[in-house]
Amino acid sequence: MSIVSFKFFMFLAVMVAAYYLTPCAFRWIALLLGSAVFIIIGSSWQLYIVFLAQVMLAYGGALLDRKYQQQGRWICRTVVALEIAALTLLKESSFFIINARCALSLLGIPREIPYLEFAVPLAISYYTLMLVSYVLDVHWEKIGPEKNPMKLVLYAGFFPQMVSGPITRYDETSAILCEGHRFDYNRFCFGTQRIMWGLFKKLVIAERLGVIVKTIYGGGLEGTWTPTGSYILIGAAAYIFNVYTDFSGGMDIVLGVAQLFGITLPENFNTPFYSTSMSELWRRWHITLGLWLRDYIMYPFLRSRSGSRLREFCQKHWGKKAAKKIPSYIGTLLVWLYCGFWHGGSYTFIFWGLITFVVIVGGMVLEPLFNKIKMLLRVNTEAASWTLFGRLRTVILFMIVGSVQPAENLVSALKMWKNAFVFNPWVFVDGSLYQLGLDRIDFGIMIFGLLVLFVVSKYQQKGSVRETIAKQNLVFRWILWLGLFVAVLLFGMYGEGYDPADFIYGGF
Amino acid sequence: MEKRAKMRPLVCTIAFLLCVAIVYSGISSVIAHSNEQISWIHAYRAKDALRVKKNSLDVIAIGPSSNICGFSPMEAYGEYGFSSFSAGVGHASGFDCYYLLLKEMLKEQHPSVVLIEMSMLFKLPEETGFRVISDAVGVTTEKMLMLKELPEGYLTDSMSSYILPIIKYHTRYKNITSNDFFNTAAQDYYDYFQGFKALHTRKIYADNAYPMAGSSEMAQPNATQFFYMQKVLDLCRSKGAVPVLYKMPCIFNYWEGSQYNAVREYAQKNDLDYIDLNLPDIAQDMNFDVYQDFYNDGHINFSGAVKATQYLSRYLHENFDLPDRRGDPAYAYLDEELERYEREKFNEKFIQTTDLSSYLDLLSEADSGYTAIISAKDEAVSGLSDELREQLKKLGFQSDLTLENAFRHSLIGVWQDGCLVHESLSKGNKNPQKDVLEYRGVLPDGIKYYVKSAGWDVGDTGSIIIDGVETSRNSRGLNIVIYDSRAGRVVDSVAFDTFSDAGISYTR
Repeated sequence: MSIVSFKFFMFLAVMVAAYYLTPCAFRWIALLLGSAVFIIIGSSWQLYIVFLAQVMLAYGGALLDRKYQQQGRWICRTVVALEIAALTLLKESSFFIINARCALSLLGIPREIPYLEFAVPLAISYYTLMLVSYVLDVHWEKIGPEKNPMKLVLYAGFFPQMVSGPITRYDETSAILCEGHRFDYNRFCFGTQRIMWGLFKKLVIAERLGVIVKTIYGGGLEGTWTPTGSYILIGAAAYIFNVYTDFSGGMDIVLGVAQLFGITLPENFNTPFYSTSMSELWRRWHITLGLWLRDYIMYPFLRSRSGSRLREFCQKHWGKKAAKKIPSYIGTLLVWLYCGFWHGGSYTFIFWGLITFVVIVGGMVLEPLFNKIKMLLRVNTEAASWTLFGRLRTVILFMIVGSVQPAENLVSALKMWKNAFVFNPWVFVDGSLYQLGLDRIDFGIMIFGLLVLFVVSKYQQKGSVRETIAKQNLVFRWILWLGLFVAVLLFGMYGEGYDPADFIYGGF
Repeated sequence: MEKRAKMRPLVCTIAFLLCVAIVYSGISSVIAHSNEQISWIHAYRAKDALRVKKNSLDVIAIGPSSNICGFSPMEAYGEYGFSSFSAGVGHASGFDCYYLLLKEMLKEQHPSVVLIEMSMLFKLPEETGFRVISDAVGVTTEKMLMLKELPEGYLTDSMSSYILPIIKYHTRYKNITSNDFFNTAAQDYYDYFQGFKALHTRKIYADNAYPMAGSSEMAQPNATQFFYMQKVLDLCRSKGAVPVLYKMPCIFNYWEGSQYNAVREYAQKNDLDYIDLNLPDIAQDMNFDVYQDFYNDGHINFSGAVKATQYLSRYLHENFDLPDRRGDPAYAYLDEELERYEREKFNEKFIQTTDLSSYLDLLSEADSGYTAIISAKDEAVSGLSDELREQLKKLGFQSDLTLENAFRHSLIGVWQDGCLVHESLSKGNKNPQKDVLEYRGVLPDGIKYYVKSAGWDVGDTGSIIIDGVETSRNSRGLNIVIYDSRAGRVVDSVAFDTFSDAGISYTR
């Protein structure tokens, strides 16, 4: 069930009514049952059992970890390994099979390994990471193990999160989920407004950008065209804004839906395109994934025996500074390799992870040099123009790096980079833009939508836009929200002939 | 005060939802029209059937396009005075459509007879017609039940779009016209009367194309059509209306003896009246003409509709106790409509007339409000017979139109409300400055016109421009345009080649 479908909103209305009609103490059970229905409708009851099995594994593992503390380390490792193995097997098995086939072929062994085709449980990439974080947090004694397995099921399978996250932590959300929230008018309004804003981003902007991306990366409307020069620039720009509006729009809907039940989930975005460096951008983009990678890959690596040995080795051979930096670079490399693989089991994504690592670490390594250049040129880093330059540079870098993601494979991604060096700027003015799948009207709506998004993001820098609007006069507020409703209703790309069901991050 | 403060959120919510509902229904009424996929007239007719004055119909004729263009309620009213409406929709609409529409109509109407056109009984039902009726009906319990009941694969549009049509039609914002706002499209159809839409052109068929040939075979009805036909019949009976089955004339391969046999047998078994206008004796009784009365294989034109309706209305008059509403103040609107209808019938005669002599006779019969504008091109008198010259004289033409006096001369004549208001014949000097005739005038409804005539030697033109639009056929001979000031439109434009013969050859 897509969260932008009529069916979902009917389901949501029933869920909201059921939630507030249930006595406070049992409201979490209403959420639990509703979530089960959502997952079963969205996938199947068999996959719901797979999901339950993963949750039970984490539940049992955490309890055993605490009970048999001496063997806890091995219990924890086994459970985490099994959870990750389930995710890898169900979602990325083809990556390993392809590699194994290639290896066998290179070795000249004539053995055919069959592909394994599994139905993948809804949001497995997200809830697996959540369960891993739960098991590790219990092992590290940050939190106590949950006694009621159903509460863990709700934590891992709260229905709004079952599309594209956010990746929450047990200690942050479990209590909020299980608490029976009373109806709060203002919170309910905020939730509804956030859903509308999410729908605007997804249906009005993201879907239109998606058409351009599909046309350029898919080789034109007939699939036989090789885009060059400015087209690749347009495609790359369209892709990153498409991913942003699609993912953050989806997040707005998810967070808004949660708010209808009085539940506040963690934010996943913080106006990332206002970042002045790549590392800052990644702290503001998919925040919950970034924090997970930091807390459960980077830090454990640095704290691990291997990390300590590496630090000692670096100190012995290259000094203190290197001992501080090199292990963190290695940690960052591990983070980005996993991040790439998590986004999609293919060399394209692994390559994307690697180049992101290179850009981020490159920025860190070259920072002293940049500082020297800035001093030499007497650059005023406090000036607005410098901030603007930093933002533009970051967006362009993000665009270049991100442009490999939608390519069919690594080879075509590299070919696209090669083809980008063709000079054809006239496509911006000779009407060629309207051959990319959108007519003038749709193009105009898309640009208008992006401008609205820009203005809203600008205000978001200063604080909550919804709270600012809530302080305005009633007539103004209502006109604004009705305007948003009309924009979604009329200009949204939904209904017959469209398929806005799939969120890009739903596929990761 | 506290109570008021507590009530405020509730009041605000209700008021805001009310605003949303108003905005939604406003947008929906403008944008959610089926006319994107079918012509305006069908979309309008479906709604019009539900707008008929409450409890005002004695007969409802329901069926596909053959019923729409075949049964003329005003013809029946003019002949026998009972009130009727030609309901249904084109685009191969089937019995599911009739059932849904009739169910809704019979909530407010209590007709004595329901005429049911049988063309679609043997054909696969199509969604297009159902969609139009469904959009016109709105959300009803019956419609919801039908949506679940209809066979798999019949509906390609989503269920949600049937409940909220804007889901299907919202992208029409690109094609909005004033018609969408003011719903004036039906006013453009001068030939639309109580659901009947006249067709004006004709297709000539071979003698053996109609009436139907006999057969000993029995055709099998389509299961879905048959199921809903029975529901239609049950519905009629439950509402106290007598169902009468009938079949409009069509050419041989469109309705065969086997199909006639199947319907006749069903009618006999179920004690139903069945009138098949394809039977040879009925065809003879109607004086139906294969050269004159068909529009295409499955449809009859205006002239055919007059004949078919006369037969059907006589049958209804003789077999049912239908009241004569003529002169009843409650039905004054039908008397007004009848006046318009009779005029259109007269106008139709101009279109159907193919020789100059009959045309001039018709002109002499025309009452006030008609203007005939004549412009000669090339050569217009060689073929004129003495009789035609006499007829023109009777209409008021004074000029000597003999070969000696008017060969290749320019000629203009304007005949208005029974009198010749302008006549000019060039001198034949072969001097374009003197021999090209021009005339400017104003029609009784204030519309300006311009006429230009140039014989063979001085420009070879026969132009008649009304309200800035060229209306003349601009062919050799006499170009005639008939304008009806009451209807405010050009009724006919024809050119009789009076060079080659006595106005038997024509261009229309």
